[in-house]
Amino acid sequence: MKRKTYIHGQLRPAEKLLVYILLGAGAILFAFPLFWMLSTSLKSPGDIHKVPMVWIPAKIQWANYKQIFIDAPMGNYLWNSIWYTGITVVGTVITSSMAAFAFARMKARGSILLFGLVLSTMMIPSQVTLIPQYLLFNKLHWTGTYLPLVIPAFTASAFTIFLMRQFYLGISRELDEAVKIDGGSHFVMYFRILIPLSAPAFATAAILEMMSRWNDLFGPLIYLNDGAKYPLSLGLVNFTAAYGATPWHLLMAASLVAVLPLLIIFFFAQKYFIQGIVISGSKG
Amino acid sequence: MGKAKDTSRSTKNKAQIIVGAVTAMTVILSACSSNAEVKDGNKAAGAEKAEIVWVMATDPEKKPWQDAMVSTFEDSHPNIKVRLELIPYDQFDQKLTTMIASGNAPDVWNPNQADSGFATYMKMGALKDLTPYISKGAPELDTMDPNLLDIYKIDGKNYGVPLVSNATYLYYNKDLFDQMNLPYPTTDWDDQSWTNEKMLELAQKLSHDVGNVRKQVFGFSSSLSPNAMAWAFGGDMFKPEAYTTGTMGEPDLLNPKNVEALQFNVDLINKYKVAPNAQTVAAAAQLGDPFMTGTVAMYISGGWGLGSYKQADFRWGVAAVPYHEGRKVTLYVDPWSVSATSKHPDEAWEFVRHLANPQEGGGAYRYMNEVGRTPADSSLFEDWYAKMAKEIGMETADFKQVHEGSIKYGREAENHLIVKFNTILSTINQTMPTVWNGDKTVEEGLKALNENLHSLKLN
Amino acid sequence: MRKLTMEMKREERAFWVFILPWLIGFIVFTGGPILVSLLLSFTEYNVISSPSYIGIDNYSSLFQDKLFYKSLLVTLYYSVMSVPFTIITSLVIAVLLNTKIRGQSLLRTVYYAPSIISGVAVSFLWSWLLNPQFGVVNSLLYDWFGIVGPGWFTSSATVVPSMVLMQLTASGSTMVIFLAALQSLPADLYESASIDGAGRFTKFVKITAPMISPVILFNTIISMIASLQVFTEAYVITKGGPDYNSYFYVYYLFDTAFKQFRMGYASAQAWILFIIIFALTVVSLLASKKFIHYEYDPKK
Repeated sequence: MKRKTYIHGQLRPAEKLLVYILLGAGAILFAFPLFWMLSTSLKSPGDIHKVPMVWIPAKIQWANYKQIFIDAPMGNYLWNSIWYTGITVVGTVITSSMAAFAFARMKARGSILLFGLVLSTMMIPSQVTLIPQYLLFNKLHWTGTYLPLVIPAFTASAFTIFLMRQFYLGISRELDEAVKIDGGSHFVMYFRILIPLSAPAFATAAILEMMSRWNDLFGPLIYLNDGAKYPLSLGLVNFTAAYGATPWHLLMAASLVAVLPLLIIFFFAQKYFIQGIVISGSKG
Repeated sequence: MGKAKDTSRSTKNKAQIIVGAVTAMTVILSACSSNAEVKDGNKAAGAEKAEIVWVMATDPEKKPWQDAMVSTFEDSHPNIKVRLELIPYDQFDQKLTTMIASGNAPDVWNPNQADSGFATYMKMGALKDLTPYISKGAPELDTMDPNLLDIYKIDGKNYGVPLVSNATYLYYNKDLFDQMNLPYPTTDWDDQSWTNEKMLELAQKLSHDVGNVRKQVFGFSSSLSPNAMAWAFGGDMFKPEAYTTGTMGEPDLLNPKNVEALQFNVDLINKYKVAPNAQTVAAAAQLGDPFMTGTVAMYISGGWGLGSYKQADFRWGVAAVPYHEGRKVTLYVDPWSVSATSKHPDEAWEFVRHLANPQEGGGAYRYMNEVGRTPADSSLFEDWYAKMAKEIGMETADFKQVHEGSIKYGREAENHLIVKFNTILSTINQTMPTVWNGDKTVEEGLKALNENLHSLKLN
Repeated sequence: MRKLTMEMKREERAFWVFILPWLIGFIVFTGGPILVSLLLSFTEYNVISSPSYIGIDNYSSLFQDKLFYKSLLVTLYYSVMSVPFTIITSLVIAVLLNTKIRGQSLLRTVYYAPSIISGVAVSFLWSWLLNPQFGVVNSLLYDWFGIVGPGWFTSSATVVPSMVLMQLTASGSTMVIFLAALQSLPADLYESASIDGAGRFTKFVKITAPMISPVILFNTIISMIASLQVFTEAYVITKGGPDYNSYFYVYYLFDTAFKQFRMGYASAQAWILFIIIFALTVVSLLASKKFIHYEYDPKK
């Protein structure tokens, strides 16, 4: 059943050249913010405000990277981000894929209505549910801990349910029938067919969830109040200030340190979900 | 995942997985909640120990001072624990609102650090009346100028204890002046020959290559709000009652002095081309402010520049804002307040006293010395003049003259006095760009603004 | 017949088991706060005193509020442009990144990077590109074509299009989802099409597009929901200006809730927006029915 996946065939040399030119030009644009961060992170405070911008600072300040570890407990933040992101990604992806499976491939009364509810939760601006939600967690005495961030992650996310449902709808139904004929239950179907078949969907959902958790500033900001518990996203704000007093060189050094693990993970993970075991069941 | 080969084992597998998942959930839950319990346990152990929460906006420059404040206070008050919570400026309003709504308002904070400002929170009933505490005696406030203390006295009640009093100055870039061999602007606010016309002349001599990004130098710019521009010309966009009652009421936009002030500032950009246009200012403001780029020779802005321009790699000084009949400039006096819902108001007040203490080792003393902001307490002024003058490279007497002049002609910032002023300000900021870029005349702009302000619902 | 019912019952039971985690979360964490916001929309609530019931006053004053209409119009304008722009650009990038080329992993990482790194760095990029005075785009326009470029973020007419353009570097997750979908395509379909002599474009239209149509629908709906709630760009770059031309709906709502402390009014704003988004989503789901190809059709 294993098939090679379709990678837009073989390109003629001229076509290949065109693709390189297009992607290369785009890459310059897309890489600009990274270059800017790197350049700023190596500047002295005086260099930052130069107009026009100085790309390569006259004196490269590697010490900025040392400074951020002195000014803030970066290692501590990093650890908090790792365990928090790890747990929430696992929780969200598993519970969402279960619900997605149910919505995609099972018949039940009221399922359309329930799916409508799932989508609806994305349509209410979070600004107005923020306070009721905070009051709720406050009642539960969860504020000040990671509980309001971790526990809801184990109850699926609307975005991920919807995403995985769309992928599950793309997998042929004939396999289901085969399982049914064998007398297998929906659980068998889920664990034996859906999960192995939807590796790219899992990888995509996990990557996207991971990126948004790792970068989320607002949730931790609202619910945590002890600096020692901060994840990296929130720790970075130690380097911000109002009225133009932000030390950009330090903020950008710290931001690069924070984003580097994500870029590395993405670099390797994309290989996985791109070359992942994709099995087409269309005709046996 | 789910790689079992044998169908008959799958039910068992299923059960195992479910059991596993449930166990994992329980472990996580208990791990998280045991953390919570530990925290509660700590609280219970030191039952008589009160914890107060102190909130400020993040600023790396203030961090060592903040840590020192907490530890020195806890040393002298072993029964009080202070938890410092730092909130980034962009999210300050949202976090603070959730804290207030849930009854967990911070015990000690500066209501002007939020965009909304003192007047809004006072009217909302979020702040505690501190008069009983002050009248019981607070030697820390003895040397405070009563006028400053009165800013936060509403209907005879004190709602805040001043911490800093930033003034407004004209900053100038000494390097740019020296290149043109021009004399530095005066430090004497009562020198009536230092007019706006004089300033314009000077700006014209200092400006060059405007339009050429690589070489351009602007003679002048400012961070003044349109209302502050009006004040500098003796005008005002609002009636005097607005500042005392806290209610905007009927605005007074078409006052001829307002028109004169705004027209002058439009001309600086479009007619004389000595000031950067709104877009250039906005671009520079993303990283700091236009003065920091080193391409603006004179810049009118608030006293926080004394701190942030320390990073600049050019020499600079401060001078008087040009004279005009009725000229007023903005003072930004920030107070410490205690929340109305504070569970430990007595302890919070003790901490405010510690923060306001101008004696050596006290909060106000160390804030002036270590963070370098303009003190509110008069007994600290002389030390501060000497310290700042040395840092900037000016004569102490000159610096003192600039600052005292600014105080003399200063008045308290409108967002500290008028309720929901930030909504008013954002309405002004929406309408004014069409005036700055010449799409509308000043009169047309003010008429449109008048209409927009009237449609605001501020209650 | 009886056997079928049994099976249906079993399937229904399994359905509830699978959605149980979500259901618990909805009942405990999400549904409550949403309901509270609905109730608050009929009250006046300044977050410090308790809410007081005022009937439909919030809604009736909303319909007389000039800024309500202005912000809604600006938001719809943004949405109409940004959804197709995001979908088309990220699909094109995904297709290009799906070709067999050297440095593929690195290129994919580079294209994804702007959507996860510091927002400041990205907004700096665009203000550097689109600065009316010394931005790269306007300089090129002038040097190459002698055209005086527009004011971009600073002009009433171009502020929204500029923000749409900015979405180019912000659509990393849309692109990744397309990439994953392209990966799931079976090679044999293309092989047989090649034998039939189909060109690249024909194959894309006849095979690729229908095969990934469920994911196109997903990305379209998600970016529609997101675009109607656009907020950050205005908050960071323009503060809603100039002259209210980027005063997006949720930006107005944010101002009402957290600057003016009118939580009741803000909740009413939120519910009006909810109704609009809900209606548009239903319409797109219905309209798309003809074009979406599901391997597994839930209706069958």
